[in-house]
Amino acid sequence: MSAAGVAVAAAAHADWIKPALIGVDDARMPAFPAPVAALLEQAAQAQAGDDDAPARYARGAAAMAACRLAAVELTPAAAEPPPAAPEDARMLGEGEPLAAALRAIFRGDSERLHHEACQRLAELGRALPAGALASALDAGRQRARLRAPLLPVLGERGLWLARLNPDWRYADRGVAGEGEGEATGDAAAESERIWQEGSFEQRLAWFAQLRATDPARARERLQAQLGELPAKERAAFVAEFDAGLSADDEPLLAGLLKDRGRDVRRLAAAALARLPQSAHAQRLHAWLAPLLTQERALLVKRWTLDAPQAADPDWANAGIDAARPQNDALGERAWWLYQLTRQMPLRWWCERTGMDAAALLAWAAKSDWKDALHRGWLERIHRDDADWAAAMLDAPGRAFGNHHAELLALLPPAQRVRHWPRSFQELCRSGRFDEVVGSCAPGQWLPPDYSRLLAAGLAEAGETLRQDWSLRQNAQALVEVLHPQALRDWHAPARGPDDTPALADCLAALERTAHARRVLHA
Amino acid sequence: MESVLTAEQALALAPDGASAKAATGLASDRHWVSLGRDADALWGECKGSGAKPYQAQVDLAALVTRCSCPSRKFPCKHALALLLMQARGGIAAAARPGWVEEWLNSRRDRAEKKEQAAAKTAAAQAADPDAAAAAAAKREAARWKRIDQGSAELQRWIGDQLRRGLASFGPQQRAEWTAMAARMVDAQAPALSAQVLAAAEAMAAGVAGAPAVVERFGLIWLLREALVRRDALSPQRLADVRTALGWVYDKDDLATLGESLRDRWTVQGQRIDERDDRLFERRVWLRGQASGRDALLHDYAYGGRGWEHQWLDGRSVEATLRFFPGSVPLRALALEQGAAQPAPRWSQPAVEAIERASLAFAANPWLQWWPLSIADAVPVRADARWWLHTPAGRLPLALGEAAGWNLLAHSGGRALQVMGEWDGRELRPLSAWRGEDAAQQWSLAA
Repeated sequence: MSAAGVAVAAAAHADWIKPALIGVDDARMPAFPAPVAALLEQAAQAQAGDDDAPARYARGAAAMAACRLAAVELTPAAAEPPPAAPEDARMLGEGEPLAAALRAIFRGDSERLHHEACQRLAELGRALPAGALASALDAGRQRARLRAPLLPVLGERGLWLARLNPDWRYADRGVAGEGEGEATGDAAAESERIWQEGSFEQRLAWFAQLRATDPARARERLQAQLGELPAKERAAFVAEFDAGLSADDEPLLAGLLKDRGRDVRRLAAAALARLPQSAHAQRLHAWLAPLLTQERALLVKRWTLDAPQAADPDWANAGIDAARPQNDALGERAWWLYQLTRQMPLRWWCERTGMDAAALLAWAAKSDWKDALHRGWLERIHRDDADWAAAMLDAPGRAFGNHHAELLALLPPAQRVRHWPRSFQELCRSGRFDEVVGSCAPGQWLPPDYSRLLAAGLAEAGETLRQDWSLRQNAQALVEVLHPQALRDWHAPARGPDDTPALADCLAALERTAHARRVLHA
Repeated sequence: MESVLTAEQALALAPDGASAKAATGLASDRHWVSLGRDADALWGECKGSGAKPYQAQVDLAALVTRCSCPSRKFPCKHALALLLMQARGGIAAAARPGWVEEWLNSRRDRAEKKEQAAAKTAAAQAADPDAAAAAAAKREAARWKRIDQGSAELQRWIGDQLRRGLASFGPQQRAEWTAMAARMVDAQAPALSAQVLAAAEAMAAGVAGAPAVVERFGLIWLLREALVRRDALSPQRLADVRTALGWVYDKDDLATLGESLRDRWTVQGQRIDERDDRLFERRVWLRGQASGRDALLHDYAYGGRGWEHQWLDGRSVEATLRFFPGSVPLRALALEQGAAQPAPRWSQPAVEAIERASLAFAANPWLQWWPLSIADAVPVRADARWWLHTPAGRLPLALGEAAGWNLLAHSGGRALQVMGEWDGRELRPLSAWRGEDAAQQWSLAA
């Protein structure tokens, strides 16, 4: 049977299927290969000829099927498989406890844990185990931010795998620079493809990366495409100039002062103002400086501020609107002052008056133009202005109370703790999880002592978790940012027998996350 | 005791993700009032709501668990947690408490009682063999009659489909084919029903599915012709026909028809599918170390009740299997069995594996699957699908995207041993390994 099978196997893809598609009748009876035809002839005689065309065809199909099955058909190998991955002593074996934790982490979709796992592996000088590679590469495809920490821990196996999947081309591109010319050519084409066809987020990430390595080329690429971008995207690209801002950026940014988009104008102006030698910074200084004057009263020198008396026609080219919006709370002159203020770097005020941030805030509080100044400064504050953020947080009467979260984000983590809720219970009551958790970028943790404080509270919070389902997600995020030292002896709240499945899931997830992080930092 | 599971193997026993999650949370001794183990069992008392803690226990030989908690999941989170703790740190040896002793004894008693009951039934039949045989024959004749009528109808219908041509397949045909499948359930030929449904599924994907459908129709036609001549068939062939109709032999049939074989059986790979409505289907592929026979344990679990016995890849068990009859006896029931031990899995060169598969299909064209365990096989991605590259050529793999990339990552492009189910067109890999290194193992379920 097997030999006959081989003989007809070649006919497997032949024309005998066709009649079944258009309809079998006597006129369209296919010729089956000789051994099958003989077999059918025998069967037909046994049936004494009382069968019709579909019956004969079906019998032929059965014989063909049986032959094909009995001659298991292999596709001749067109080529040898591609070269195997090089051995990599850094790759974790599947049996190691850390490998199991990593597989679990990458099966989940917590961006924080992904970052942490990659960072930790890099510290240990190890590479991801085979079982976690596919999901890790997928995570990197979805989140451009993960790529930088992921690439170094992919190891030889991961890079080999990534080269076989077009979706994971990004991983290959990351190391192509060191490689041979062909790979570099591929990488260039790939990066061109991202810039031309990628999603907005991909393009933005690509631009930020290029700006870090080759700012001139980044400017050139953006300049060439500005005309085609919607205002929202233009604004996002301009915001990227904040990092690594230099005098070379001035021409491009200056051109954007007349952009149609209000946000684009504002962002370009704010960036230019940070370049003291730029024409824009000097014009701004020329407008604002005369308004801030020093007067001598008795023995005391006092700084006084006046708002502009009239709109300057040049403002139109400096991202400043002369016309006050109808419903704005500020008066017309305050509106003008506020707009000048929100462009001027905060450091200028300190240098100009010799006062520090706290003193300036106290001074402004007594000024006629307090609202315009507060609003302008708040909008101007930048990640370099930690002293201003601290002063605003400490301002009497919680003057900036509605903005504490944004201000805290500007402080180094150790300084934030002073302003945060002092216990887990207080954290729950205040609902400031986003602020505390959000203060940690992926791969960062809360300070050790504060972590221990919260961890202790969370371990006792079973009853609260039972009643407050919205707390469960927050608790999960919290466990992901607690300092590893605080997790060493930590246990999730004990379960109760009456736990709902959702609560049980939550408690188990907390324990699982803590366990995975403990293994990671063991 | 050698049957210590790794944490992953323990979690693989969980009936669902929620149980696995819950178990990881309970796997810490602060949840437990008492914990202990000896050579045969693990046990522990877990704090619950009531005054009395839940008593959980695991029979290590069979990996069967019991717990006094009200969970309908099986094994429950408490039993899983015991296995997890044993895997992670090990539970300290202790004297077996009374309640564990009682359970282990009752399991032994029950097995004995079962055998006694079977013997009793056999004895009853022996006492009045004529009446029992007559009743059985009557039932059997009634079922053959329904199958005859149903399959004749299916044959006419297939003739109509071929006359009309498959190219006209559309939503209306699909509804018609589904109705025909339902009729085959009424005709007590469930496997025919599944064949028609699978054909409708293949056609729904377009004309590219037609060759497989035509072959399927041909084989059903052949089955019908065999059915008509069933009095002339050999007992093995008649068994092939019955199996192809989906008429399963029951245990009593097997006692007389089935061949028994005692051997040390290695678990080569397995597959668990969730069917609708909390019904799980499991296929475990075994390989006899001395006999060189392949065997399939095919069973179902309803409503999360779990399996009577757990089988873990890469372990071997001394057991007596009773095979279902047929030209290529493959499916079997495990009768008595001993404890599991880690064991190397078996594989053979592709040429030989394929020769055996060909012979099996030549003997029974209605075979659903044949197990292939191929040495020296490299998974390969080509033409947007997965292949297994062997020195004898390439086999197409039935593998989803994620599982395929995972297998590829494990191989690193180097040869593995791969075990899977060959369905006549594609190989569905169930497990893969390199040497005996536990760190190099892959399974479809992971």
